[in-house]
Amino acid sequence: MDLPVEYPAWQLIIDTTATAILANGAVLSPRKAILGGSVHKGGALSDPVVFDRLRHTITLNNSSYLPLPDDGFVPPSVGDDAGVHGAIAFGVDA
Amino acid sequence: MHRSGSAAETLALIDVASFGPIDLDPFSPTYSFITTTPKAGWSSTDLLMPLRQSFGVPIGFDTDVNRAALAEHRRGAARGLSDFMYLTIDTGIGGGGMSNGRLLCGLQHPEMGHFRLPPQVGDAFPGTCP
Repeated sequence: MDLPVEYPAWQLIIDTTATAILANGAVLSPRKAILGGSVHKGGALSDPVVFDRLRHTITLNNSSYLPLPDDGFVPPSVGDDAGVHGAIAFGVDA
Repeated sequence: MHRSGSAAETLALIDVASFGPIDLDPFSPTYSFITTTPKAGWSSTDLLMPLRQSFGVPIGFDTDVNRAALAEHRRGAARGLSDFMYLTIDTGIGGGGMSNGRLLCGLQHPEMGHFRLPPQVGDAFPGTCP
């Protein structure tokens, strides 16, 4: 059951997700961070408004310290079954 | 992958993309095991043994997020990038990353969701990690 965008738990999810992305991003220094998973896919995180709130929280918590490219935080583009597509990619490479 | 397109296609390779934590060290006695998952009934399970016993083909093995990251790299949002990360929020928090063109894997695969968060006001969730 999807929670509405206004549900308070989403801010908690946004804050913790922003922390995870900034903490791992500080180590990896990625050019892009992709956020997937069923919470994103099936829930309000996939809502553009919530995704923008997440992007905003990341920017805010970063305090202009790490470089954050405009297109640096995005939803997946492979879609469902990305793991399966990855397994096929591995097989093609082998 | 068999590329001939003939009717008699043969299985050349199996690849398993699993939730973690899994043992990816080919020299470890517990290689291909799910190790310390909080998911009931899955700890210390050898995922590849039944496949090894049934199919005489090479078997690839990695985390589901690493494979998802690979898919995003080959045909998705990370195409052409040598440094990116892929985070999933699902039944667990998982992450895969590429650095300098290599998917990260050290002693174990990355566990990007496994760190202690400062507790927030009103959040009494104790966590589910072992």
